[in-house]
Amino acid sequence: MQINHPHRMSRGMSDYQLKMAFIMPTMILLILMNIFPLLWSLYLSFHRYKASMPAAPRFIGVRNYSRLLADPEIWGYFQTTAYFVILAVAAQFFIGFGLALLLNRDFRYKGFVTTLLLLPMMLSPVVVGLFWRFILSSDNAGLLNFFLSPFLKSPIGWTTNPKVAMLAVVIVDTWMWSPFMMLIALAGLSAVPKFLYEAADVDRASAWFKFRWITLPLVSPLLLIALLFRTMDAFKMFDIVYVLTREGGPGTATETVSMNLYKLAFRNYNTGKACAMAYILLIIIVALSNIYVKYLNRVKGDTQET
Amino acid sequence: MWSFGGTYGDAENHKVAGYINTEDAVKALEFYTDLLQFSPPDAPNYYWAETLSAYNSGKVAMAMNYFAFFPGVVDPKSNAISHDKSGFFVAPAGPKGHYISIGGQGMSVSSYSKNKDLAKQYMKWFMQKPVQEKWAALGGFTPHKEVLQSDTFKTATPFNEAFAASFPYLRDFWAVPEYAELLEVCQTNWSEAISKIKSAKEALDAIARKHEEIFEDAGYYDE
Repeated sequence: MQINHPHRMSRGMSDYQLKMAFIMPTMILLILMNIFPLLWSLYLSFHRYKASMPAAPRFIGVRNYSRLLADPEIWGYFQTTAYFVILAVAAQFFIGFGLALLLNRDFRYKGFVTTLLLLPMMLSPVVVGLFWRFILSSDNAGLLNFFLSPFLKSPIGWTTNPKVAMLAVVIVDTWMWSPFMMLIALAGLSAVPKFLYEAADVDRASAWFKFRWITLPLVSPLLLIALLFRTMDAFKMFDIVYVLTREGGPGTATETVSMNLYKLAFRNYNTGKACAMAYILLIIIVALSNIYVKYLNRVKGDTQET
Repeated sequence: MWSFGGTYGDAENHKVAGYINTEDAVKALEFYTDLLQFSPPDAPNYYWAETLSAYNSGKVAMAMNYFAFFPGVVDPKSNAISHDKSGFFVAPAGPKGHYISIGGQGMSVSSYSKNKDLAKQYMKWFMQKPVQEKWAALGGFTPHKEVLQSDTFKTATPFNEAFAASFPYLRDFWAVPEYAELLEVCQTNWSEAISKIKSAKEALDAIARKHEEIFEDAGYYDE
């Protein structure tokens, strides 16, 4: 009796070979676009090399790293980036979560309102930066200054005053990405079982009690995931600064680490140093993400126990 | 800066400290920063295009820009307000000299080129008088002395005469392969001085330090 091998789909090729044939194009692409550049840039970070010059890379050990870490201006950029990340992510969290709480009920035109609120997130960051540059123009022709003019002695230099420029970047980024936070929070809020609130109502629990002991614990894992994504994104934010404040201006008031990295790599073509800077940034983001993930796992564990 | 007595550095030994951060250079940057009071509120963020736009829209009565942008001033399509009322003049002298930074794209032969002779032949051909005359007629600016001082060139556009008159005072930035990196350092620090993040002295000291780092990395100080 001949036994058919149902898993043998094609004559001449084993199951394993067929699987590899399907995976191989993606693997090759991944290696070419991700793995090779990662390893090549690590190699270049220990060399003096300029992409604009035909001279071969010259090994200089850790000099790129030591120069960067000893440069007070680089720490300034990290400070600027941290300032932006903390302000922007916090604002997006409170605004996004607040909007989600307001939307987590049935009302007329809920779908339309939700779609409108999601629109900023769908726009191109370059377009957003461009039209916000006009809105935040430092003379009274700027829309924001125009509406604030009855209350101000002189127009606010949103993109020209170094004390205010980062706030302008935070405003634009918050406007654009609060909907993301809102979306994730809304998904979390929709998943909270209704019977918990009903049980709390039976015990005459206050609104704050229900929020603190039902809503927050059950939504916090998703909120933390959203915070993780936004923190990672905010850390590497480049496009809005590039367009809104013209590459980190005024001076270096809004020059983030990503902007400086861009200048190192594509304005100065200091490829070796730029690779070193990229790795320093990678290590910091990985470290921060690990802290987040550990905390997230702890929160998820606490929620499951509850 | 040059007109105030300052300089970018020593072209022979590429030393910068003690040249770009002298008292004269500090005075020059302070004077430049002071000019901001006569500019629109968003002027600190202006680049060439915004400067042109501010002038063409009537926001400012006078503006300094590269000659390459002046066709936009005299074109009625881009300057409906003052295209036929604009005049052009040579940048004024400073307290210690008369120098003008006329930007442009220079021609150079890469030391890595395998066709150096051909490149030089091209440059020789391009610099011939008939070729430069044709180049000027097409709207280009010429460094050819005869063509520059000819009536044909001076009358070709409303601003060519000012260009020809500016040329004897020409000075330019470092003409080295590290040009972009050196310029970026200057732009960042001048911008910080204009925005009052740093004083003029601090900005120029920072430029001196960074420029010497760049020259050191590039091997200019190796014996």
